[in-house]
Amino acid sequence: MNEHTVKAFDADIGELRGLISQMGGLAEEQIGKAMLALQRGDRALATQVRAEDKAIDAIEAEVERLAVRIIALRAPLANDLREVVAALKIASVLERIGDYAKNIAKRVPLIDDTGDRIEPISVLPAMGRMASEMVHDALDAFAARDSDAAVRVCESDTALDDFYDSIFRTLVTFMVENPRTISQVAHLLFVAKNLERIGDHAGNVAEMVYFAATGTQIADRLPAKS
Amino acid sequence: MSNHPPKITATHVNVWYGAKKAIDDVSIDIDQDSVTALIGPSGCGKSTFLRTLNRMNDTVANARVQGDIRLDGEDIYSPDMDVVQLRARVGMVFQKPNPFPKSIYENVAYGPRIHGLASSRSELEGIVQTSLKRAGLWEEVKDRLSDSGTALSGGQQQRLCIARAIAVDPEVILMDEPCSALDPIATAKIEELIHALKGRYAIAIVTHNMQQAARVSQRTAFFHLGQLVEYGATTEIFTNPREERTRDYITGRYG
Amino acid sequence: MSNAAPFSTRRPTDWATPAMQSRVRRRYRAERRFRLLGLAAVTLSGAFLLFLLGSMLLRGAGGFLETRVAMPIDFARASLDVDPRRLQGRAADLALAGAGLEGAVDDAAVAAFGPDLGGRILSDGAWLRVREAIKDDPSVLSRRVVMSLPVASPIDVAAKGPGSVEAEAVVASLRSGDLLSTGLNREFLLSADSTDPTRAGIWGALKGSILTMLVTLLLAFPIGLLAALYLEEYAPKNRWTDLIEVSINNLAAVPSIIFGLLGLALFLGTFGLPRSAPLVGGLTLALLTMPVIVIASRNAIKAVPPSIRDAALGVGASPIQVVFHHVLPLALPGILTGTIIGMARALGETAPLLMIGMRAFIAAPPDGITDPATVLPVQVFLWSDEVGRGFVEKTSAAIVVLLVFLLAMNALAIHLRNRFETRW
Repeated sequence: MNEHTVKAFDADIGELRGLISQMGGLAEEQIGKAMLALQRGDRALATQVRAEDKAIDAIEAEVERLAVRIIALRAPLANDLREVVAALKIASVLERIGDYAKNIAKRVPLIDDTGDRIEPISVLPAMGRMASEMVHDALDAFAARDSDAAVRVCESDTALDDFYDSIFRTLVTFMVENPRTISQVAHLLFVAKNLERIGDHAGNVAEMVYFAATGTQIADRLPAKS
Repeated sequence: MSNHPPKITATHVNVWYGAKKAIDDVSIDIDQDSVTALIGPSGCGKSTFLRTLNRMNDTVANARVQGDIRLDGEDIYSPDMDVVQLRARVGMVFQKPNPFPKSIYENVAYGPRIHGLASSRSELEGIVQTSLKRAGLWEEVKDRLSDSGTALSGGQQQRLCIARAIAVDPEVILMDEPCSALDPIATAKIEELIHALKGRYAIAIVTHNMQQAARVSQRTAFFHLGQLVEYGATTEIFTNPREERTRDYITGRYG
Repeated sequence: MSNAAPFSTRRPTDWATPAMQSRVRRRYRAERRFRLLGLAAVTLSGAFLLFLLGSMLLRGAGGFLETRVAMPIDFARASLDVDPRRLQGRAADLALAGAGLEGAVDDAAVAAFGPDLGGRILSDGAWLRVREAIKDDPSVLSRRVVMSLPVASPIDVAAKGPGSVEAEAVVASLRSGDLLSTGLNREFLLSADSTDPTRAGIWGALKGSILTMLVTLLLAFPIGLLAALYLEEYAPKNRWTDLIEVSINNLAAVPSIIFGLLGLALFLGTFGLPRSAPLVGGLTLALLTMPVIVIASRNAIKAVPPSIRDAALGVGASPIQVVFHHVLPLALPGILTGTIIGMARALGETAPLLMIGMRAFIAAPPDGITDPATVLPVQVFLWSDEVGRGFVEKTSAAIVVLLVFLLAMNALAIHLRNRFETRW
């Protein structure tokens, strides 16, 4: 892509993209840490995750400020306009993803209370990795303005949904068999739901990336997505 | 976009200035009920193209036009076409506001008078009043119609020029960068006026201001080096242009 | 692509260094010097103009005045045989001349000043004044009256300034008798040329000039204007029009005497028009003036902004409507200025008119453009050639009249120009 005649415009766009990448990295890290805290029952780590969410919120505010400034001062058009709009929306999506990670971390002390292990907890990190990977891929697609990669992210959301369905069944079965653990497992159910939502949001990011890169909606390209 | 046939059809138009080719094989339809914006870098031929549509290029020595331009299916470059009548049907507003150094009334009345559009004084006054109203200038000048048109502000002068153009009741209005010499408020007034005139007149506007093209037009044509690079719905051109040259130009990446 | 050069490598300019300061001072000095030179040029040309006007007025003033001597005439004794009824209307002149009025006046002069001085003291035209007085009041014919009559040229000259020794003595004696007086020479403004300086008038030449100018204006202005309009608005730009342009520019620079020869050969030789007539003079001067008008008009037309043309064409005006409704009114002030310059040049032109015979001695003002006539500059030329000392002041007076005419013409043109300008 050619440079803008006005160099400061390039700098602004670059800064915006940098902020999104930074935000994405943070969100990814938060998911990983939350899952680790869950797995290990590490309350300190969980507290740290809850504290660090503020950083993501701060970056989101920064993205909003910058995007508004670019729109006001540079009057972006075509792909520039789409990119700024996408960045604005991606930032709010990433903020939501951060919130989900925080939500997972919040549940760590509630689940870890009892001495006995809850078996299905061992499959959740895999789902966490999968969701985290989707976020990662979506942001890579954003960085590379790669619409094909964005399509792949959207497609992988189906796998995550299937994963969620199977975990859901497993946890329900477990609850039926071990009525004592119902409250903790219910929390796990929410964790799984959060991870599924993170995947959906990663899909949303990918849709935005696709729109920014091509100017068309991904829905036109992915027919009959359930 | 429209169910009507296009008001003006230009097919394979080439224009030379002496040996220099200014327009290279341009084909455009201009719709009756929409505003068509012509954008492009300086010297890209957009103004030249605009001026071929009412044969203003005839006045330029050694300008040569080739191709087919039809107004309602009528070849405007055919020997049977009366240029004077053509220019009455296809009015023009210029870059620099250029009112005649006469009174406001005389400016507007001039066209109808030379074309004999009014049979009486009161009818002529009626035409002047309607034209000024339609150009959104009536309220500002109704008490000083005998003042000189050149004493008005730039924006008012330009609206006076628009009133002068619509006084002869044209079918098409061509505007050649009508706001380039105006301040933002005056520009906004002209843009609002273009909105109000849309539908009644087919309008083609050349502009350097892309935001303006985006604001006032329904269809946009991007010219570059005498060629028509892209022509389509304004929303498409400004959010998702198909051609890389268009995108680079409108996003400010043009070399 | 970056056009911005690095700024940091250059030291900031120090405007306070002595070299810089002296450069600034030098610049201001040059500025002042230039302004003073310009002022000096304006002052010098103003001084020349003042000197010219002053000396002409000073020397010419005498030309408008005449010296009169008081002289008693006893009509009762002169026994003029005039029928009082014939003193009405046109027949009066003839009746008085037939009755020997001229001789009676001469006799009265001899009676008053003695046989020697009495024969040469009065102007040749003095008896005509007496005639006018009688016509005004026939009752004087029965009385003895004292009349102020114009003196002969040598005495007139001596009365106004240094004259011949003899005339000076006459003036001195008349002055001591308090017989001399000075009055406005109405005849100078009302009559034509004469061999007697006291009777020579400028009106013939002035009228000749007016008629000639009229012919020139009527021919040169429309033709020059049309030519300019055609060349600017219609003519294609090619080698032929370039050639025409060059020819017109050259024509404006051709010495005027050549136009005179052309007029002589063409109008007098080929067409057989009357010699010395304002018609021929006007035609010849029109040839001379036209290129000036064409050039000035073309420039004025060129100066009309193209946006006005575009505007008119844009509402569907035809080329001729564009020209007559917009271009011409806007160019008119410039065209008028060019016309004034051309006409002023024509008014002052002498040489070509000499060639077509407008230097003849014409004692009567022309009645039409085909009558023989002369014009002001030629009259100046003719009088400056005369031997009679009385003609010196007449020459200056004629120049004053010429200048006044010129100023009047310019004033009229400026007035017209302003009127056209304020119309817009």
